[in-house]
Amino acid sequence: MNRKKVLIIDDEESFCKLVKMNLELDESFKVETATDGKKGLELAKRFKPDVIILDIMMPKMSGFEVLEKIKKDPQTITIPVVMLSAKEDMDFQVKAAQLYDELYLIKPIDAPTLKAKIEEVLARRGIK
Amino acid sequence: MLDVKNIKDSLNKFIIDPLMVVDGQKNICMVNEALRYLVGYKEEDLVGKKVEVIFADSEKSILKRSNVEKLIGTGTILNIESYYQTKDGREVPVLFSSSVMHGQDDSDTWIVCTARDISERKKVEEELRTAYEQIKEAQDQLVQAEKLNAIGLLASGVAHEVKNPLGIIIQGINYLQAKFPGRKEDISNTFSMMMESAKRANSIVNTLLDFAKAKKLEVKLEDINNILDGALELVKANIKFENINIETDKKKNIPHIFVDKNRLEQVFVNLIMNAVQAMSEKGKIFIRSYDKVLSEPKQGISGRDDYFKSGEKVLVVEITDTGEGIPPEVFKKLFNPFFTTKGLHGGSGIGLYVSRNIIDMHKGLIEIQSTEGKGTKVSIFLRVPKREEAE
Repeated sequence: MNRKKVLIIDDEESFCKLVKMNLELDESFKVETATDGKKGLELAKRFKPDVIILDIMMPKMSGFEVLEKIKKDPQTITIPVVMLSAKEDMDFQVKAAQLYDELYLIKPIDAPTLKAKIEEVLARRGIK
Repeated sequence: MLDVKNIKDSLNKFIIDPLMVVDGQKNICMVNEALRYLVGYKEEDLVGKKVEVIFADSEKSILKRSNVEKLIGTGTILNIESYYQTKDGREVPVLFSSSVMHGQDDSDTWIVCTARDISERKKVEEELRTAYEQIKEAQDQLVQAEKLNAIGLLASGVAHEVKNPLGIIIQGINYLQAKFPGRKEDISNTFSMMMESAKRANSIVNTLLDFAKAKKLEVKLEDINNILDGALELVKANIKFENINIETDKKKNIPHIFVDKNRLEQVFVNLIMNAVQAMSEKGKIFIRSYDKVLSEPKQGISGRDDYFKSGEKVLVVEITDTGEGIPPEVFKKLFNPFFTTKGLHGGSGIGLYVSRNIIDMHKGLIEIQSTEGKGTKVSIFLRVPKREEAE
């Protein structure tokens, strides 16, 4: 079985772990996590996820810097990214939606909703 | 003896301030032209009368009709603010002075009273006082706005920090719910209570963000009547309407406008709940929606001039109740944050404040008209987009 590969990049380690645990309750998911942008970018190239869940407000490298690097690297350019943030900022949403055509979700988000959104993004790519 | 005639001629000629001479029994003996002009009496109306006739009994005055007879003649009085009363009943502020003059024997006493009309000075003082109060009020509002801004920033910062751990808690509960599905009723109830509380905490955080205006709008073209229906359903689900009758008159085919549906629904719920709470036992709430072209510029309660221009098309939602109305002292504070008349458990006092913020963010206006004992009408004005904007 081809498992749906998800990469979570979020500086909140507990959040990464719990999202991974929740998604992997469904055996069709395989989840990897990174707690900063640098590790996330390395993992994106190595793990080759079907979708990346990316937190925006992170220390060192913000989610948008990570997003720009993902979209500039030929190895990762086609991976869809779901932006996730506790900050409901219209500029963020516009930037996420218009520049990169990516989904923007607001924290806190419950597991069923997050899973449904991920599946929606994957379905657009023909991954079921 | 004083030569009254000579004195009178001189005083009429040379003294431009109102002046009178009073004898030892406090009867007016002589008045000059300036005084007659000031108070509008003829000479014969005053001469021979008791001195108090010329004084007003103004509370503002130290030397007034009721005490003047006792006070003048007891010594020199210099520049005391007093009020003369004119023949037609007006009170004229004057700077009063009097001096006692003695003739050859002790019984021969005269009191010379002069007064300077200070109406102009008083008027300027009043204007200055009003200007000062306006500046002070503006300054208070600025300080208040600054404070709110600071609270808003703090609230917004705290809110975002709280949302991250809330996300972890919610994901954790989801995981436990999935791991222990329907095991025991008490376990599933505990999870439900935890989830409900986490969501309630999130809703409180959202209210804080509303307060701080930190939440942005997600606007789409919407039918305002649908939003009103949604709000009514929410209110009806939350409170019982035993003796409150709700009537609606929503215009069909009303233009669609760009609004944030959820935020506007929140405003309508706030306003309808306020209307319900304004009626202690029974009454009627009338909800109306319509569009119109403004015949004159519209200035809202926020005090912005010409916010809507004449000729502009607007959509109006009115929520009218037959409740107790709003007393004037409460009216002034309606939009103050944390102001509530609903007691300890009735409300947070930020409902109207947040509602106005939301309407402000939509570049709309809220207008409130209220008659004590009869009821209150709240009108919301929202801009109708031009055809090309809506397409």
